[in-house]
Amino acid sequence: MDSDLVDIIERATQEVMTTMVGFGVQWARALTPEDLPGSGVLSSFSLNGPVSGTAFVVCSPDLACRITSLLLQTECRVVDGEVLDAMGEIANMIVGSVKSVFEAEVGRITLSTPSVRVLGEPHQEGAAKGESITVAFRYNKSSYLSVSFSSQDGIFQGVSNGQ
Amino acid sequence: MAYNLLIVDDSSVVRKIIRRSILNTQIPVGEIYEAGDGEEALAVLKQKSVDAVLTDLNMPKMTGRELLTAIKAEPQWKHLPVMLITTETRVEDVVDAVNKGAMGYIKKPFTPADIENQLFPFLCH
Repeated sequence: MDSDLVDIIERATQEVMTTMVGFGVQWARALTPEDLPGSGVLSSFSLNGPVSGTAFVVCSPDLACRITSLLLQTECRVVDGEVLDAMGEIANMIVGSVKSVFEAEVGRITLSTPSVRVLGEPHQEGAAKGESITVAFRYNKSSYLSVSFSSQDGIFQGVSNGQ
Repeated sequence: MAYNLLIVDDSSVVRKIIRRSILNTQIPVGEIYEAGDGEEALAVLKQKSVDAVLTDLNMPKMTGRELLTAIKAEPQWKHLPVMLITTETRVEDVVDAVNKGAMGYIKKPFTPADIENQLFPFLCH
């Protein structure tokens, strides 16, 4: 796993979470996609340009509701359309921040609008073909958020954190 | 003096987030209008008195850049402050937006303080 890219994803995720919803998430270093619970809100994106690939953000339903409640200052108990929209925006900020780091090295990359839905098997549906990096975060024992980037053309090789 | 603001974004959730953030600033706010794209924004501007526009870049029908160009082309809106709220942070994009007349941009993720620091100076002018 490219440690620089992991750092980039970790920093972007923490920045978005602390800035937009006011709490951080714990980087679960030992958590693999296979460890993630069997349901969640999936936001998926395609990246196109000098490098191309796919990005996924998966969030457990309870954490998605908590994020939405804090983001919109409304009470949210179940995953509905508003939660999907809110998670799509949070995911867009995370993936967009990571994309900005890529762009500094390789030039303009186009990021698609997010496709957001509830899914049953994130580690299978979100499974990437080719090279893939997943960074998982915990909020509490049962709440998680994971960020994945995948590509078949080795986009992660040579991407540094610029520091 | 209370300022009337127009939020332009195709996502109603993003509009809510921006609205909530604005209301958490010290900016004295009158009305906050919303539009889902550039065309709707122009319709609001024709009907309402607006002191500043906060707009996304990527929207259907009319993008933030096209909206910016349309606003600056109208003599009555030429000096209306337009602020971009975007995840795009490439220098070329910012320069292009400023060349088209944007007052600046607010990078997502943002705090209420970011909005206040960027927007308030232009409202006070």
